[in-house]
Amino acid sequence: MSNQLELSLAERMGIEDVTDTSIRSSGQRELSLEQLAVVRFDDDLVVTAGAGSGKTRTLVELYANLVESPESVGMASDDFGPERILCLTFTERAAREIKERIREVISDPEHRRQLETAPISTFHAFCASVLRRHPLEANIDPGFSVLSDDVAQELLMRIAVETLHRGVAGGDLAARQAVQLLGLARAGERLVHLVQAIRTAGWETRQPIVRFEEQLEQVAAAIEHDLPRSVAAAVEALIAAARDANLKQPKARGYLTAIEAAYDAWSEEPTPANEEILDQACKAPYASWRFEAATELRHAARDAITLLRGARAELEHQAELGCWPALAVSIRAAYRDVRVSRRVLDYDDLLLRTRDLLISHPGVQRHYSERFRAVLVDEHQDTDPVQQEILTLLLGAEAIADQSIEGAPRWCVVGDAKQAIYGFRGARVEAYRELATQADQRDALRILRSNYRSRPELVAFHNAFFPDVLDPDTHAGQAPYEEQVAHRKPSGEVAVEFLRPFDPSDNGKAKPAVSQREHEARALAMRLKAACDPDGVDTIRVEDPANGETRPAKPGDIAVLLRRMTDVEPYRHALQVVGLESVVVGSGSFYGRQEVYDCLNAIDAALTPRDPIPLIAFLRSPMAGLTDEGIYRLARNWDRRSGSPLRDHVFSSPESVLSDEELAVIEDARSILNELVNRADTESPGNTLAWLLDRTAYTAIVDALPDRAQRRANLRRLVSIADRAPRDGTKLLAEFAAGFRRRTDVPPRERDAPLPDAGNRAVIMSIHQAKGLEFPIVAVADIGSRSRFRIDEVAFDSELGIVAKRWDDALGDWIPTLSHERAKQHAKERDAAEEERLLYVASTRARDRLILSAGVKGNVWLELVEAFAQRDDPGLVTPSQSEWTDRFATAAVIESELPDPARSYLEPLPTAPGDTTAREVAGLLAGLPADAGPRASAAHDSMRAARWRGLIGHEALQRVPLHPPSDFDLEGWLNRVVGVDADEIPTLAGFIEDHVQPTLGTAQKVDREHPFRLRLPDAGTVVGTIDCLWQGTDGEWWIWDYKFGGPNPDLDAFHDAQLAVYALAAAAALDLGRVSGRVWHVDGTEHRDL
Amino acid sequence: MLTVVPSRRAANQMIDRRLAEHEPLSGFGARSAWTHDTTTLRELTARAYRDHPSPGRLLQSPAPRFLLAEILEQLEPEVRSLFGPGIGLAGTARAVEAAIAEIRQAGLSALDLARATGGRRRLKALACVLDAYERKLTANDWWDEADVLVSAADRVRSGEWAPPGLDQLGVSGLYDVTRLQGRLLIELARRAAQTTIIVPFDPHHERLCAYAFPYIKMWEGVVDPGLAIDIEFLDGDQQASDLPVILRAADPADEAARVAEWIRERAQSGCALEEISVVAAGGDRTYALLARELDRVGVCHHARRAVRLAETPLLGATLMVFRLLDEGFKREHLQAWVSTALTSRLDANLLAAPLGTGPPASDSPAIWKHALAGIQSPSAAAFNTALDQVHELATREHSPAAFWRKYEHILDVVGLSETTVIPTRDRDRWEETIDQVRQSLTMLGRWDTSAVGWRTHRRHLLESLSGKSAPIGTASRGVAVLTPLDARALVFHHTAVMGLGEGAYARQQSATAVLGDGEREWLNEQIGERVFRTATDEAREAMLLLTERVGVTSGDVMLSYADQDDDGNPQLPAYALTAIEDELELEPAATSERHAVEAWRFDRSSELVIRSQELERQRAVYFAHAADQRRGQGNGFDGQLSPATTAELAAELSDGRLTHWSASRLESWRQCPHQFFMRHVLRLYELDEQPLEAEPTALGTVAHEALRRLYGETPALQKPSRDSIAAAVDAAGASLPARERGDPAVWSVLSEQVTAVLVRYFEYVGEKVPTGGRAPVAFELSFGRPDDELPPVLVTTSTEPVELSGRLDRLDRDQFQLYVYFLGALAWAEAEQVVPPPSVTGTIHCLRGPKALDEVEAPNPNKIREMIGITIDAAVDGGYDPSPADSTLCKWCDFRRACRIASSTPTYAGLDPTRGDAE
Ligand code: SF4
Repeated sequence: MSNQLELSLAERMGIEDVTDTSIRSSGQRELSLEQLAVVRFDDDLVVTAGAGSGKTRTLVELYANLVESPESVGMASDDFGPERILCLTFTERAAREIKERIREVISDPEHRRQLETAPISTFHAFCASVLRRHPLEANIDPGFSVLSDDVAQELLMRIAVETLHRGVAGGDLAARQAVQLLGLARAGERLVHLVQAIRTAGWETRQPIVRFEEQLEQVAAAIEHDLPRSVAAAVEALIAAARDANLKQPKARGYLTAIEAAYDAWSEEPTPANEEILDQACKAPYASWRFEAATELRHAARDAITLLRGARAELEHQAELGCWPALAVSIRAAYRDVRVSRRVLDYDDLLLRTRDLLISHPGVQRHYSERFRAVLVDEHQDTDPVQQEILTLLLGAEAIADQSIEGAPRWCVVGDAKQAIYGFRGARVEAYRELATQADQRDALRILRSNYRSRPELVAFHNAFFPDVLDPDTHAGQAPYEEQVAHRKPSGEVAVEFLRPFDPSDNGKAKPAVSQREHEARALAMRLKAACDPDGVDTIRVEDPANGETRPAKPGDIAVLLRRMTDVEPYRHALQVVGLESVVVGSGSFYGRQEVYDCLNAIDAALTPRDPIPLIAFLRSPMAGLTDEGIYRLARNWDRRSGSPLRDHVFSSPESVLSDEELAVIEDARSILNELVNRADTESPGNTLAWLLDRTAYTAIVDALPDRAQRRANLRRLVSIADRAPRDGTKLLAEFAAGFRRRTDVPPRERDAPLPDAGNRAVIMSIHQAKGLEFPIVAVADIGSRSRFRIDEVAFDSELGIVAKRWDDALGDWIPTLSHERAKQHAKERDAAEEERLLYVASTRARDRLILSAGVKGNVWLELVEAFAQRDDPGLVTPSQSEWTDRFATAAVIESELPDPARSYLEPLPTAPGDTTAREVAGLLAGLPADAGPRASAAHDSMRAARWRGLIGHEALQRVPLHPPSDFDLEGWLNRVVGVDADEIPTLAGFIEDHVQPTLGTAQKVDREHPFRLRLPDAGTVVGTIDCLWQGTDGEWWIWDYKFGGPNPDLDAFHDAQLAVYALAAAAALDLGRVSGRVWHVDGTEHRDL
Repeated sequence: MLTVVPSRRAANQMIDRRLAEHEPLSGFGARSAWTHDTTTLRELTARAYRDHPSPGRLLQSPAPRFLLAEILEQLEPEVRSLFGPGIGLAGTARAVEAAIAEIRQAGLSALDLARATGGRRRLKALACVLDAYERKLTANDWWDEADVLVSAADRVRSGEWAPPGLDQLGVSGLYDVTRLQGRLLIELARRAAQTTIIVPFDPHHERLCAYAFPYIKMWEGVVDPGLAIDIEFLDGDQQASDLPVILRAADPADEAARVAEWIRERAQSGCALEEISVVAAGGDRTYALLARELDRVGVCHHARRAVRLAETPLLGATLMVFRLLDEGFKREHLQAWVSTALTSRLDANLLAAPLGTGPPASDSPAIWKHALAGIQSPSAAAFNTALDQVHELATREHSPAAFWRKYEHILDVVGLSETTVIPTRDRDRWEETIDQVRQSLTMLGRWDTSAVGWRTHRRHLLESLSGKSAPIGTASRGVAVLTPLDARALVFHHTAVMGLGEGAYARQQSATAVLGDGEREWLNEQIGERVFRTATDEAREAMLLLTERVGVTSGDVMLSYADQDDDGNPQLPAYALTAIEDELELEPAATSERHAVEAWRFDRSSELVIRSQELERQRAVYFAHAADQRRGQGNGFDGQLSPATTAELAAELSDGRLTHWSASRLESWRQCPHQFFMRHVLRLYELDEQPLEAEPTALGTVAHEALRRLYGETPALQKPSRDSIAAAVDAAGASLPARERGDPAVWSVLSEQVTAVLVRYFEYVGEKVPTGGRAPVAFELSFGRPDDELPPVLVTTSTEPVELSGRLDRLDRDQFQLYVYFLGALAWAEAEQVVPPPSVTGTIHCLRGPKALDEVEAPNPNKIREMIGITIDAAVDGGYDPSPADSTLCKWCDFRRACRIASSTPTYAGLDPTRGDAE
């Protein structure tokens, strides 16, 4: 810690001994001064926590302190348990980590119990809990479920296409236009992005249209004033500079004259035609303008003209451009309707609905802001506008601005503007920055500068490198770098390596990006392999995070960080080739994986038998295991024109075509497919898929492949997705397969994926996913790849709304509009600033060694690092070209060991006997198949009616009074109390009056609906219910069983057997010698005695 | 002796234990028992109701829900607004029903509630609803569960009724009775000569039992010296088992696998399966996973509430009728309906393919009849009938009786009721549900009357379905998988409690949506008793339940949870678990190694598996080489063929037996040899399905054809009118098979797009192409094929000359100008590489995109010949680069799913071409 900082901190906190970097807080745990300044919580705080500064620890201590001694932070202690502290995090992982650590530090059992349900969660989870408590106020179905992101996106996509389709069919102009411009699928995709962005920004449903109209007004105003002025200024500047440059060349002078003339004409009459002329004049080829400022000035002039022309185009074609907001609004509405009817919410709903609830129901809002006495927010810089609004609503807007509001919750916001990297998802770091500024003014901004993560050599590199990278002067609003103070012991080793691309096969010609990347990946893989070789010269020694000892690195210490997971394959592959096993975290290519395709192909091969492609795919996949050779012979032998599907051909192939081995494979494949067809939908998709994996031994096969861990993980994920499919509305296997196939066609946007249990394997992940994590060795790969900034022709800007270029049919091209150009500027600016922060986040993940590696050349990162490497003492090593060639440039394929495939079979255990129903026993005794009996065909109308009569009839017979009072109205009772259909009443009443009441009314004992358990020696237990058991005055015992639907001779044997079982049960229970039995056919009033 | 226990299962266990102890009573050696005298509260009240001489009519589920839905609909606006706008939503009735039931079980009337609202909106609103509900009940002489309980207690008190065997009363294993149930128990106790209350835990353990104290207080409150009531507690040190083992698994699937393994070990060491139980604290998901794993290890098991009924495939197929009504007759739904085995009268082999030729969506079934017109089979007839009847359901309103009759008929027609395919038990569940709807509506007088739309019927059904579960296995056969509550009072030798992650024990109470914890606390305060359960109570009960499990198990206990949930989100252990951990001073568990699940079972031979492994490994190693290293390895077009076959293929290729070369085939080869292999060697093709939107190739065909027509009419055409272009495009479109055009409405828009492109093209031709006599002599001119007039072009290769055939888009006379049209904006780069036949100048017109109207110089014809020759030579001798020229190809490739290059190699698998790399 720098001396000055220490002093000022100490001064502020009234601490004298500044040399003591760690002191004890109210509990027994050590904290540094700056951490203590937070834990004291003497005001509503904003904490800026640099990478590795012990942020989580500070938060945990703050929390624990609040719970254990609220009076120490000036709050009343009554009822200040975990339930009353809201702690919001950005990821589930962070929530868990905080909670786990709080569990460790809190000792009071009641507090610990409360922690289980305490609101320490992500924004989304918190919102879900609010909505579960207040569904009616929030206008959502109380039984709602939450759609997974993938499914929600697929649903939205489908709805977008359907809406467009319906619009086109119904003659809607907007839909026609969109489809005409982009085609149905692409227009759908574009609109999906718009709708997603609009919802993330928290806009009201109709706001895009309103904003579009407002924007038009502003464009009109700009055409009148600002735009012509800036054109004039820019062109004048160009002219002035050209004149100053004193151009000699006649050609150049000619250009100048042309511009001057065009400018005069335009100034006279600023018409579009003159603008065009002016633009053409400014376009003159660069070579002719040999003075320094020419390029920039010419561009500026042309840009200004483009804006003006864009503005005109925007006004003129507003009807056309208006199709986008109109469609976005109607698709959003349609999507909402579907969610309502399916009773589901998506992730955005959780936030939006909660915000709306808090706004529309002040009572609910009050409830929460009274309930929470303190609100802690982690990673605040990554909140999006809706989250920010929710926070404001919880705290009360005034409370944020003015600390003196009575009863408002105390709050502490932790963040780091340097680590704001979720702008592309709609996060807005500005909110954090604003809070920080306000806090600074009231002396409530705390900065954690210590770095407990990285080695001092690495911290030194950061301190030297990042001030230039994160420069507010380059990008307005860029977060400045705050110098960090290292806390670990120096090791004296190199901290940073820079692997530059030297390609020995480089012949000066530019190579495609793909092969440059492959080349880099191989070199990086070799480097990392060497790092893990304890005896080699290139070994890297790291500090074991578990025990603090220094040891040679292991693969598990390594993280390869990438900007985009779409480029992951070369790196994964290269590591595999050199024999470093790796795990890819949350790769966006899950939907493109072989194992995923294999499973889907098997299902399709079974369910769509005429389709040859899935069949071939299935046969050549290891699920069946036919060689390409076999496939070749089968297919060559097949006469496609015969019209018989390939499948028939395959499964009836003559032995001459295939070897015995291949025939065995085909036979097995056929039975797999048949079993799959028979199984489909007898169980859920998940079960069927799990069965398929077992049946084909797919998991065992995967075990023989190099990246088996990853493959197994993918299979688990696939099954888990299938398991949850029914909840998302796809219950049939075919539907599941179709939905999943759509997702493989258009992979859903990448989302935060879990860190799998990597074991001793290197992990490959995106920088975004690495946020909040640390690794001994971090390799930031592909630092040369360019930022993928691009803005679609139709895009959303949180200020300007939906902006679009206009398609010019005559030109056959898109032409810019003012709003689109402005949105592009905004986006470019934000993207560039975020890129720099991304490098910061990536580099600061390393504990001991950072490797920066480049393949493709073309990015500002590479330039920054290269420039830095030129410095006198940059503190990083760069292998020379010859070193590179010697050590890293050739990678041999190392074949992995094939694990022993022989596994033991599992013997099913014998099933144990259990309860059997009397009905089953009777069926067995009567020799009927298991599910025969009177109900087997209950679906037919007449049987169904009989079944219903039986149900009601039994109820009547069980309940009818046996000694009715004289005025008892039997028919009325049957109708009113039991609900017997009117036309059934006479028969039933007759039966009761003639048989039931006279006989049972005079019986000695009557027991109606009598359940029993009959235990037979060595044969388990039989359970059943006897309709009526009674004892006559003569002492004889009877069993009556009622049947409806008329006698049926086929079932006589069954009924007899049933009575026999009942009789046995009764006899055994009551120790009777003899029991008689009778089956009553109530409808026909007939009976049959046993 | 009458014994009241928490569940039927517990009663049965008790009876069985008794039976096992007694001598057989009858001659067969059988022992039997009436199960009446060991009973549950529910059974007891059901009997009381049955024995009542003139009861009100019982509202059985889901009748109260229907009734409340009606009441909610008719509420005054002020009352509705007290609830909030969500009151009109479908699922609300269920939540309100649950809340009302809870309130009534607490013995509160509308009046009581109204007095206790304390200004709380929800309580006020509930009081209004309760009032309306009570009025309805009284007016119609209907009873609900609460009424039955009250009447039972009254009749016991007045001596009008008593269950048999009440001389002695035992109450065992209960601790959470509602107030009304409590009253009934007390009345029973008053009538019994001796009452024994067995409380299943140690009362000195304050923290554990806090939840159950009200129950104990209730009994202690019955101060009547004339009554003999004994309260017995389970003593604290009855723990016979060893210390429980804690398992911290990686994820839920792993947890299930390990628990299954644990059970198998116990079973193998001789314990009867019935003596082992699993308590699944984590809900349905845990059941499903465990059931699967137990099946894998061959352990027989059963669970009463295992899967949500509404989520079973049977219901998926059954409710498809509503989906068709709701979303229209979508092809995808129909195909799924046809291909599931559950619809046994619809033959997938016969129907699925023709359905593919229909449109992706349609509002009426007519179009499907048309698509199936050519098929003469009972299956198609059944399908048509079913669709008509589905359509009919939507066209007018029906009474429930009529609607459900028709609905069931549809199910019959498609074979969804045949028990040969559908397990009887599942079928029974469905029928039970319909019966309940019928019973409830009959009671409410709505069954035969009041015709309503299909949505109302669906709502009835869903309301009746909601919350229902279907069982797995045969009751009491094998290992019992239980919910925490169902496990109460049961005793097993070994027990595993799984799913003990955070929040595991939280009961899904639908009532909390309207009766939240705040309201509950408030009401408890007003009543002066803890009658309404809150989240805190739940947590306390969790501890109680878990402690009971650990306490009553005599053998081994395993407590487990997963480190991550299904989505990979981290999970913490439930507090109940950590509390036990602390209490028993157990070692905190470290995450266990993932269970090495045995890899396969069933009858796949190990030879086949090993073959597959080796094959797959070979592929992996082969693809581990970069594309340039793979070149020249003699593989057959990147299928891994034997050297002999590769040679055979090469020979066929070189002598023209395999394929005749054309420009487009060369192009296909150049793009990806493997694609070429699939299409031209294996002769695979994609199954045709009518798309919603025509594919780009169809648009291209139409543009070509339109140009042919236009120029065909007027060879020297320069600038045709927009109308005539549109007419030509229309005519060209009409010549395309309907299936390729896709949806007509979408097609009409797309064809306008083609028109616009052509209009622009003629603008260009008019302005830029030198005029003066260029006259086309041929369009779509085909050469080199057997029926063509023009001969093939001969290309020399290192072996034999190859004949090249092809088709020219347009050929002009004067300068032998050859035109090639491209429609896509992306096509430019490809256009530059296109190979026109020699001896003419080639012009490529890209019809769309900013560079659309430029011309390129055609390369030197001899160079082209040479290029072709080299390509073919390489194809023959295996020296080609066996990968696609451009990874974007994979994205659109028809054979993507059967291709193991795309999913194995680094270059093509991970790239997402839609997001196009900037480099
Ligand atoms: S998917 Fe790619 S590699 Fe495979 S055949 Fe198609 S284009 Fe070739």
